[in-house]
Amino acid sequence: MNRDHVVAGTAGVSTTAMLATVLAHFQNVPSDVATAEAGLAVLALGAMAGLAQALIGRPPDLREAPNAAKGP
Amino acid sequence: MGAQIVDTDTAIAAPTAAMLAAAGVVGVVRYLSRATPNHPGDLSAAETAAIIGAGLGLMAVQHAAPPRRWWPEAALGTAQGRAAAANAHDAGLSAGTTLWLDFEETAPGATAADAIDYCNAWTREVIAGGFEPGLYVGPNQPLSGEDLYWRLALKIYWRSAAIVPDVPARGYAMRQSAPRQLAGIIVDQDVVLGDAFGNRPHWSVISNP
Repeated sequence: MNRDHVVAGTAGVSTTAMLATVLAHFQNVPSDVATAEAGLAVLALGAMAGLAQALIGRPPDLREAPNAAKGP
Repeated sequence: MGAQIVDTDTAIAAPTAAMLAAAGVVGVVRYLSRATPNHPGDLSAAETAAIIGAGLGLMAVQHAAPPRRWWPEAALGTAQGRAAAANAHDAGLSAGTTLWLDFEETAPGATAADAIDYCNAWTREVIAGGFEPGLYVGPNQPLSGEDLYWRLALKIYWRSAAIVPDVPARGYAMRQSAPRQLAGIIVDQDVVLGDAFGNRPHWSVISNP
């Protein structure tokens, strides 16, 4: 079940740093400017996560997973 | 047909969740990152909404470290257990939901004592974070069945599709079988059996109005 080898190399690298690298690459801007822009992007992602929470509406309920012999 | 559950390393959007439900799947296990925050592609709050919104149950499993290159120890278990609980909370999972530790492929030479310390430290942090700890028992790790049952603090076990030790007395509460393609994604198939003491894992479902 170990399928995360692709992302293993990015462990420990912050989302902001990764975004800054990408922005600097594609926009050819100084890295400090890219970092600032990436920070804004991370803030936007955070806002999206909050929106997703709102989409759930109510907190999920907790249930015991059904036994296979008691399936639908 | 029994209650079919799938685990997958692929993020599930609402259309895929609906297709899984239509195919008879009743629940999903999705991944959490080993550190905070969750990596893109691991479980997010939006994905939680999509999955439970389709009427599916949702549990989570934390990624294992790269195979054969990681050493289990208490400090690592503490850090990863704390991250698992924080990431599950951020993804909107209900308190009490079972979070699985994907335990497999430790470095050659890792001892059972190291692994016990690692698993028990992880367990303490997951419980402190408000979730239920469970162990996915994968291949190439140093714990025997006796270790799994007598020396770990957690109480619920998920048998991988690999050849792994039996858990004496208690047995496995969930069992994984061969992967397949379903709803356009690759999934492993799982069933909940309940262990010999009648315990089953817990998942998050959409709340009734």
